[in-house]
Amino acid sequence: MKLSLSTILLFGCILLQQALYAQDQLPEKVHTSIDKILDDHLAEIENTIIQENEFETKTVLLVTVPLENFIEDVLFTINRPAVIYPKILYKVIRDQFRQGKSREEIERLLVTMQKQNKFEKLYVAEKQK
Amino acid sequence: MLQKNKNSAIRRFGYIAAFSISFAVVVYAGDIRPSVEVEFNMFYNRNYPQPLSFQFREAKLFLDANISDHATAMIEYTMKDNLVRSQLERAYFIQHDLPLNSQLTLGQFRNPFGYFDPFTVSHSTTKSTALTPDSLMPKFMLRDLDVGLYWESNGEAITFGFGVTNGNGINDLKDDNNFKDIVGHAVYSFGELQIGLNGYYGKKNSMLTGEVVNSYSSVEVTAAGVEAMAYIGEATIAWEALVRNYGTLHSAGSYVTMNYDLSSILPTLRATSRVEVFDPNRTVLNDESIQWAQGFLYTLSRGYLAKLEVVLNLENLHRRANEVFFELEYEL
Repeated sequence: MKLSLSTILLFGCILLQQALYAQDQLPEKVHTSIDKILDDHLAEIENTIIQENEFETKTVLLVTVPLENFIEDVLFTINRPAVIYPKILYKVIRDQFRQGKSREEIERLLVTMQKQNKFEKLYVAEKQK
Repeated sequence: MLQKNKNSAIRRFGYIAAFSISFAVVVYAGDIRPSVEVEFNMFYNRNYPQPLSFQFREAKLFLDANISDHATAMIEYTMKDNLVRSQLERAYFIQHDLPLNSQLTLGQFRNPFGYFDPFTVSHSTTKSTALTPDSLMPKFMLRDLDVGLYWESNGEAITFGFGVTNGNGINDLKDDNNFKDIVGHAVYSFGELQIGLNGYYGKKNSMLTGEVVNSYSSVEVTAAGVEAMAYIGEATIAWEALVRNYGTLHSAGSYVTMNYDLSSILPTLRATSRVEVFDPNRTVLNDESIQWAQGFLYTLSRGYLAKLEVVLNLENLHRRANEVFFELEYEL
């Protein structure tokens, strides 16, 4: 069987895409002062959830937008880098979808957890295990 | 001659190879993330001669580095005004986790006086960069980009910090006086309410002192401000008031901004409202401006945003300058 270069490249891209969106690839902690990079990280979390679970793409995509808006409103406003915990965020969102929570409930929960600094607390607790 | 050209070519190849390897190491080996943000718009402004246009409004190049758990760095290069004017914006290094739960910033950063983006009076009401022109209050050089050091302690309830800067804006090596400007900032949090104080003291060289032109004269700049931010339900409200004395010119202003999430009506929709009052010269009567801005932002997909902003000037002086903006924005 002959494989053209474009076919090999296509398969390569698909494999790379698969590799890009893996839970293990998510960083534990990210500091950033750039909205675009925050956006990229949150998109990566959503795509990883979609890829590694059986949830509907439409339900998960953009579920972190209210959280992103809140972070930008508050942290970038007071001139402080945002700190996010992608692995913790992944687990929280995945578990909430598994429990059957609605998208709206999850959006609200993420903002509340950010207000109460709960992602950092979960991160510290995991580190101490 | 041939040997010389050959050596030169080898040397050039060596430089290119070294640069490529260094670039690859920097980008892929460390936690360093380059990012490009290009804003391409379909733009509608009924006050323009051609109200409906396309434009590249702005391009930003970023390099954001998580050097370690305790150190980060950032470089931001911006091309504005249809990509004609460009400059290095923020470029700094932050050492985190210092004593007193503090961090030290070195480099070129925005002065930490009050709020700035997007609640600031000089920026947009909606996400990303401004659609509306600079709003009423001038920046006062209080929260402009400047070069220096900034130390800040972040406690559970109290955050405070101070900075020492050239006071001359971006790093153009034209620091025109030896006096460094000082910026102080303190915030106390009561749960979901934060209240803060800001102070600024500096000297700017001025060609004019009273009626006399004098290149060695300097004017004192002092400013004080209060700020408050609260989370109420789905809304985040910020208020700020400040007074500034620039030599003999005394100005004052205040604004309140409310950002609110409207996801319950339409996923990813949010709105923002801002009312602002500015008095450019407190010794002159009836020169105050009052402005109300209302904005809506809808995230269509990652990188695709739709914005609508209405700016109304509420006092008679500027009423004819009311503006409506609609923008479809794509970020790479």
